[in-house]
Amino acid sequence: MRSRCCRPRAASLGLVFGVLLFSGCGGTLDNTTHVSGTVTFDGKPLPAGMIVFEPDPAKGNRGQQGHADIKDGRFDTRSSGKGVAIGPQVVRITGGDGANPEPFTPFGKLLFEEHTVRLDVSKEPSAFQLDVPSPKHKKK
Amino acid sequence: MNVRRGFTLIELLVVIAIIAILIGLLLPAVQKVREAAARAKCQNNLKQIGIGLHAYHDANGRFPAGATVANGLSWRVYVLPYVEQDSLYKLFDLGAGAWNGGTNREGPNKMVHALNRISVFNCPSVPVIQASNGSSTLVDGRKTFTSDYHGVAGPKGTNPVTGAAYAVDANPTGNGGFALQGILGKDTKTRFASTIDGTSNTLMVGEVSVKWNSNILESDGADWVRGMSGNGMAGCRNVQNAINTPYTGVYNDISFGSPHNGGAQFAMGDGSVRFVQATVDLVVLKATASMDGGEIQIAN
Repeated sequence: MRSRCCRPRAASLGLVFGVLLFSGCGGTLDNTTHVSGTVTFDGKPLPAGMIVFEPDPAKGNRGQQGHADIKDGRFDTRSSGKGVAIGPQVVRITGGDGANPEPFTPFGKLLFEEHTVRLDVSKEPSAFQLDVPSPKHKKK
Repeated sequence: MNVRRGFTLIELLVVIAIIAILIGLLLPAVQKVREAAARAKCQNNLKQIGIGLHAYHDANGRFPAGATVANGLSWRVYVLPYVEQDSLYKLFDLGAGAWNGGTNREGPNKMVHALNRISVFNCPSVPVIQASNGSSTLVDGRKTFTSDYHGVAGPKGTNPVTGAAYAVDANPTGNGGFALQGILGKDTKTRFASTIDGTSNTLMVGEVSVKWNSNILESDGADWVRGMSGNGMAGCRNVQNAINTPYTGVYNDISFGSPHNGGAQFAMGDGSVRFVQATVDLVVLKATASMDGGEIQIAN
């Protein structure tokens, strides 16, 4: 009999704890969003590399820097947990052939010098198709 | 009439459960305290380094060069007499030539001295204290010690005040070049007077720990003696990326970072030590890294 009287209280306690546990998690800061997409080098998916999204202060954008690993030509900033500040970006891409990664050459043999693109990131989830031109074409 | 009875099974289980919960609460707390102690030690190391650099400035009228091209040595060698390591400093050959010359890569009398562990150069929270880079290992197999504290060579990117790019000495081999507007960079001769933004508003030395491929934290893999090797800068870092950014493949741009939760500690130009959060506005971080950019907002 006694134990029955306490059940609603236990249930409400559980509810309070549940709310405390799960509130405040998930979602990003207001001015950031997550971006994903593909990176190709000379038309082929980039085997391994890294992409960094830096808000462009020259165009008045401020905020934190986002980054993501590139694996088999795909990237998603959700994997690093650091979102991208919405607005104009300076995007820097580094990458290599992905063969024999060592601690100091995590992407294998680098295929190109750091590549920089400027683009806009909007609030809506967006996917980008980026291509790094082969240095051979650039020299011409 | 004997009313004594033993504990029931339920009672015993309840007691054991309570003890388990208490231990469960205690263990993470102990870990937290250990990390807090390590962080305080690290803070103290940076303070000692800051004071050492100021003592160097008092004696020589300027800060040491962050990385000297001619003899390949880092600022850490020059600060040795001011962190109670004068006898080690006297052994160094400050003449021109690579830091790891000779058949055994000893220098000579340069890299071989990195076999000495200088505790003020290592953060106790970083598990790896030996240099993992092949060029920092003697040919006979002996491993040198690394340092977790690096000079701030300056920012790379756009100055928010002028809209122009920060000054960078570009180099063609893909190591990221050398930022020029920091206190400790390539061949710098910074004086207090040249830190126009104010010494208390400028980063001087900060923590560098990177999760390399195996996900183990360590510094940049170089010994603490090395400052410059070709176009690769080891004693100082450009501020191109946010704190705690993984390695992007550009050696001179390895980001500042630490195992301490949420950011990294820096010694400022005035010798004070600050903790800078990893989520700080990147523009503000770069503004704080430059000594003469004229920016107003400063990370703290």
